[in-house]
Amino acid sequence: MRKTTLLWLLLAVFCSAILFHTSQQVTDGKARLASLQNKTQDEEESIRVLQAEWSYLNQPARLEKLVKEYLALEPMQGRQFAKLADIPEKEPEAVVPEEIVTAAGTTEAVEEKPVVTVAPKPAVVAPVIAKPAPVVAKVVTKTVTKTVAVKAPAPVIKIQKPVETPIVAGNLPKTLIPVAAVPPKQAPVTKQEIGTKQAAAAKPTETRTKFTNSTQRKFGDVMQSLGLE
Amino acid sequence: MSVKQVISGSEASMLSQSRKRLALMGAVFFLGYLAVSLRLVDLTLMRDKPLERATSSISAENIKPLTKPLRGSIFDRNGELMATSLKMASVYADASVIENPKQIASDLVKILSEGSKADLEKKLSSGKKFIWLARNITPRQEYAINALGHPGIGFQEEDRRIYPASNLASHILGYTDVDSSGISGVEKFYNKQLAEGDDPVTLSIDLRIQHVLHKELVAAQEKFSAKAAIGMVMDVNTGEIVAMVSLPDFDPHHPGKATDNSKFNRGTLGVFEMGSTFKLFSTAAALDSGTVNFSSTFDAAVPIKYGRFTISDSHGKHRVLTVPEIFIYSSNIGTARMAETMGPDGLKDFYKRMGFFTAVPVNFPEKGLPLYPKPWRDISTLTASFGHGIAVSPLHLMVAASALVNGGIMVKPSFVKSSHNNLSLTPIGDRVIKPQTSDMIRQLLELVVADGTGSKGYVDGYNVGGKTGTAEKTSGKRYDQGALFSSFLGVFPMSHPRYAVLAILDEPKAIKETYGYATGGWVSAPVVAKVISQMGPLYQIPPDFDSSHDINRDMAMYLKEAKGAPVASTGDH
Repeated sequence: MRKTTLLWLLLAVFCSAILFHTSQQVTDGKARLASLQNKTQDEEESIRVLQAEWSYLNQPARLEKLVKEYLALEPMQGRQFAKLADIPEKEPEAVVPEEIVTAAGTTEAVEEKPVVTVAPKPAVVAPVIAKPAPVVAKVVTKTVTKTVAVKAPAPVIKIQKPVETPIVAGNLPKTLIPVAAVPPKQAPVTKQEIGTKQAAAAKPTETRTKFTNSTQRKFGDVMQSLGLE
Repeated sequence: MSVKQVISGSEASMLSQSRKRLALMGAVFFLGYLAVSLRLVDLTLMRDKPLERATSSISAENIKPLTKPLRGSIFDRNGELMATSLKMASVYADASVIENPKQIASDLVKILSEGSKADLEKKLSSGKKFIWLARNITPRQEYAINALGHPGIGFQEEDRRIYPASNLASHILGYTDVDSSGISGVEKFYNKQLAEGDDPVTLSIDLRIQHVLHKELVAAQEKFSAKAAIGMVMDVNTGEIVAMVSLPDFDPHHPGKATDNSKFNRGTLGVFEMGSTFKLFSTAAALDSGTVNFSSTFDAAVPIKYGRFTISDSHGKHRVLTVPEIFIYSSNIGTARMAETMGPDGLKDFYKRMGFFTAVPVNFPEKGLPLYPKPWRDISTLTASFGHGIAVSPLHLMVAASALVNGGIMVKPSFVKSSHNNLSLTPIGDRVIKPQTSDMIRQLLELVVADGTGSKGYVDGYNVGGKTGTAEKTSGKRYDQGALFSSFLGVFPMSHPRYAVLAILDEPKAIKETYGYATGGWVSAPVVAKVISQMGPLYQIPPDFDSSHDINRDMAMYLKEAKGAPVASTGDH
């Protein structure tokens, strides 16, 4: 046999091999496509079923029943709407001879002419504890002669020791907190292996985190006054 | 030793010929392969169109064939699902291969919810090649039946229409038959669009308001033992119907079990004599024609006698009344005299303009055709002025009332959410009354709630206006004194009306709490008030007028009596 004949024969075999391989790949691809299209249809049907179920669960009648049972919310009334124009304007600040240091506790440049900023009231937080601890801004009189940036002393804010009432539904003003909102019971720390961190977290009323600088201390004071520490 | 043979003459030519032929064939094959390889290059290297066209025609052979697309869904205006189609299995039996029908029947009856054992046995022993056992069963039931492993039992997938709201919007949505084609309501009107499956229908209905309206109407119907109740909320500027309730209603999943009475859509199909709510239109007609104004007075002291008819006021004031007084005290005599001033055809033409003589042009299949006197006589003007002798559907009432309060434009009603976002709230349509007339009507409506028969429609925080109506129902030829058709049409907020709320109770019975009254002001106005008090905050409509607005002060010159007429006189006709 000639060499060229053999060559052509081999080439033919090679081509048919490639042909069959490609054909097989196409068949596999078609099968995969069919499987994916079927799966997509199934998923789409599941989505429809879930949408119908979601809509069924969200019917206003059912939601009303659940709200009545679990939440202390009432329907809104027209009178509860207010326009921006109804909110009173902020009062202009009064000029007071003594300096009242701001409660923020940051250092401030104090000028010769005592221009003071009125201590802003502590943020109005919904009274979470039974007795909101009053914050008394101690007025510090200071004489300054030079217009020099003087480091203001750490602002002293006396906070009464908060009443150590645990946050239990019974102590709270009923109008604000729903009766059902009882916080989870504290897990008793029994095992000795629990690290001090966990133990500390489990007993919030016992130890107070020690803050290093004044800002953090102020933050801690505020947190404690709110009964959150 | 190689032997060379010398090929001579003819053999040589034959050989060379065959060689030439071989070469030719080789060339042909070569050309063939060349064409294939060129096409290959074309397909792989020059992509885009040729390749895509080729693949688009490829479809896997094993996909479940969808002979019919799944029916489209219906949503409310906020995108909440109100109707959808889910694929559910239906069980059939090939009775020709079933050997033990009794056993199979007893197994199936435990799983299936409908069909008795005897019924199933009969079907299974019928010998038919294909017989339905149960349609649209749950996936759990399907699994259980399949797990039984009985031969001859098969499943076929079918579409089932699911209404998550159940009976809440049953009259609006309507229902479909077993082949998923619409029988009534939106399902019927938009059947073609829904059948195609790609384009869902978004209704103008708000599910939350629908629920509120439904809840309040059911409560009122129970409280006053009414035979039926109708409620509607409509956007006066766009004509969108926000809610529509007709009681009694039915469960659209089982329309076969519902009575014809519960399937009757009283909101659009039923026509009724509306009574005093029609005074809204006769007054508007008189004011618009210019024959009367607020200062005009009419004598309501003496009942009108026309042939054998007598028109009188119940709880009348028995004196001369100004136009506002006629309206707020709902005087029949005054209204009739007012309508007379327009001439024999004045009121008729106005009612025609308001669409009271034709069916409402709305995208809904069930449309009631009004009843009105043909030919129109003088007595017709008198009685039609206070809503008797002419019967229209509640939808007629809402559409016409919307036209009166939105500035005078007749807006086309629609059950489908309007495509343009009309934030400026300007109504689009034909003008039917002057803007000044619309203002006057608004003032009158506000006065009715502030000072007249509609005092129970008052809502704290919102300015509500409205008109009461109590029609005596006819039993045969005579008016039945006991049976009333009590309605109240409220509009709010009165500074710039946006919504009209209608509540009607059919044959309410007075209770001790209402001091023996079952009129519109007593039974229907509270329903409207409750709906508005919940709808306003939901739509974040702020209370409008400031404290300087006082309708009583503005209209004081036309009213003889002081503000705050005692509630006991809230009876009217």
